[in-house]
Amino acid sequence: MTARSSGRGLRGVACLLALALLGAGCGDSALWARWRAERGSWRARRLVERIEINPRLAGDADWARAAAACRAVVAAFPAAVWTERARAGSPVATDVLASAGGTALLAARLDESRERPGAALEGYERVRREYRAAPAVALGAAVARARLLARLGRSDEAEGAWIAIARDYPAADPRSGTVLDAVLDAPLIVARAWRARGDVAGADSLVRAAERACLELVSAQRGRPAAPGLWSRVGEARSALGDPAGAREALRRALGDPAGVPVAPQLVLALARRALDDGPPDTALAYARWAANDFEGAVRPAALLVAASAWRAGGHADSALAVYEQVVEEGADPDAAIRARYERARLLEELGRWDQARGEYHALAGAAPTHPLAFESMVRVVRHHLERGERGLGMTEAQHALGALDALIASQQDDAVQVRAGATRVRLLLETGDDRGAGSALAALLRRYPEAPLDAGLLMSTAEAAERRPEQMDLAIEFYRAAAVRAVDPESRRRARAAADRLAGAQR
Amino acid sequence: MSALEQLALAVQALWLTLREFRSGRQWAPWLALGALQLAALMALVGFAHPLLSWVLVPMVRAGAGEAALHYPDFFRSLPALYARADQVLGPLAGAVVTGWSTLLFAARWRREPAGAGQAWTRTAPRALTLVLAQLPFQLLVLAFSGLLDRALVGQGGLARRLGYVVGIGGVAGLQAIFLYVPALVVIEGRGLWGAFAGLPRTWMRGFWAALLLGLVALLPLLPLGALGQRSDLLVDRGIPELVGWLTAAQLALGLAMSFLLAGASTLVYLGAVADQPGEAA
Repeated sequence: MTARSSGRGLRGVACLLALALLGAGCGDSALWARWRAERGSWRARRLVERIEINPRLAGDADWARAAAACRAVVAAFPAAVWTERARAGSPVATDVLASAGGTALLAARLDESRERPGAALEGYERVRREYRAAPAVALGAAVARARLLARLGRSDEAEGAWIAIARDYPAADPRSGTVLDAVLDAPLIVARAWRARGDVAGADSLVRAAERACLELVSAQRGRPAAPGLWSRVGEARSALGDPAGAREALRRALGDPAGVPVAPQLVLALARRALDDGPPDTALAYARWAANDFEGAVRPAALLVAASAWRAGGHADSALAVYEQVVEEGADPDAAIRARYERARLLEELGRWDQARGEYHALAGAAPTHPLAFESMVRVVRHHLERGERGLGMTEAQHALGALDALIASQQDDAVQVRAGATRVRLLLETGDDRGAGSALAALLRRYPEAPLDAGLLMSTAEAAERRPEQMDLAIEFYRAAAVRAVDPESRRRARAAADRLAGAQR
Repeated sequence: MSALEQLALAVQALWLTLREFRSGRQWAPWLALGALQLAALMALVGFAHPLLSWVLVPMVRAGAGEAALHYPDFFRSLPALYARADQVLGPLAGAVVTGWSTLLFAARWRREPAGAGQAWTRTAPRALTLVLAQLPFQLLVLAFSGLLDRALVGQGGLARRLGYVVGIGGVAGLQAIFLYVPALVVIEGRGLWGAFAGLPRTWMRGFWAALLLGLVALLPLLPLGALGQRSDLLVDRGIPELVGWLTAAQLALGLAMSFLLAGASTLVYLGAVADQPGEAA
């Protein structure tokens, strides 16, 4: 009896097992893999984004946990395996590859947040190479790499990366038809760099190609969200080619597209800016008034700034001053208010009303001490006196500014502010003729922030000043080398490299 | 019994049922239903696993579309998907469990000794009658909610708020109409048509008590239900799995409210609705 019942039990268990195995066999293991990949990627993203809110607040454990979460997904879904499956035509495998690639991209972003540019660049490059079968991921990696290179001042390599983006990726996703903004922007970015260094013909040819690409896409995109962006790029291209009327026409086409309604404030503002750059001030003023009066939010202060510039360009300084004053008083956008105050100070200085201008510069430096324009204001006040031969006043202002900068450097934790304050310190020391102090200050800044995106011009000037002092010859070589890496213009880079080699040779 | 007396009896019944919350025996039917519902919820959450995907993926796809097969989008649809699963479990298992619990509570209120197993033995043969007798209630709630949702499409905030109140009132009203059906089936031993024929008597003698009990059981579920409708927010800004936990909490609270409703309605039924000795028709 017992044997029979236990036999029946065993048969039951065997049946259940068979059913389970049948079930497992029938189930979709690729779907399960996609679920796990997406879940892992989502969790890793949350950890990374939590760090990115304020990387300084993240502890070692936070960094380690986020990196481990990224690594786990990348290791569990190897690119080679899933690329092969994706190429075999499995859409689920393509999704797995995209999730794993997105997580690998996160890992590189994490390195970038942790100020490990070398590791980040390597990570972006690896993702770009290994996840070619997931074009969105590969493009994301290529763009992130190009931006990081530009941020590091490695403009040659950044340019190469943008050229590769424009060359290697389609302008619209072949599967979804979605326009890939980065691909369309890439030639315009490169053209801007080429034009800046004097290669006008090369830049024009790139811009023409970019314009053609946008125009080819835009008819198919009419009424879709990408259309206004495409027309805006056409406008940018035409403006770069010296066709301001064509540029404004393109922006008006963007405004006329059904998809242009939600972005109308930005488009009208762009029209105002474009008219200010290339057209008559009255046209700019009309568009700026339209944008300022009909739209709210950040567009209004930005439009008022354009209106002030248009008044200025038309020779109506008092109207411009009144508009700047309006932006400051409204205070809707703190950044616009700072800019308005700075431009007001510049205009007052141009008009010869120095006392008022100095007051504005000081007020700006006091109100927003970490803003780049506050640093610029400090330098302008000192330079104004020195240029007029008022050395005593200039030195007093410089000492006052250096004291404020030292206090800022001692109290601020933000690396970007530290770098800006340090660079301003160097500029002030150079302005006042303290070349030795400037060299030492710049050397200290470079030691603390070796990858700091410093202005190549400042590096060159300080190097030239250091070169004149035999005891700072090593520093001069160091500054020239730093300038050679950061300069946008190849001629400047060549000059900096040549100067560094010359000094190094002379030392040997 | 006047409406006021009915309400007083309902409050007393609720209080006495609340005191039974610690009784493990009274919980047996609801724990069984809870286990079933939890299994359904867990199966849904694990739908992508190869052991389940062959059955559940087509269901998830049909119920919430292709996007719901992805993480974390699935969790946006989980409350709606589980609600659909519960629309099957409720009329089937839920109806039988309500009968089982009614029998257990009847024994408790009459101070008769009755184990959960014994009560189940008496309930099981009446399972089909219980299911069919409570089906009209389930179908009417479904139809009422559907019609209300359709009427509110494109309406403004005030109309929607009004619709919400009408919805609560309507469901509580339908609940009151059919509340004593399990008692008629398992305590009086009536068949399907007999149970429906006995309904007018329950309305005359215990409608207001039933309405109050229905509202008391329904209202605590609303905040969690409203939270469940914010699953998008939970997914985007929180942990997607939280939607699963929230659904589980809703499930647990639903069981507690069903326990309360079954216990209190049985007591009201015995005290006010059932024919008293010498009063039988």
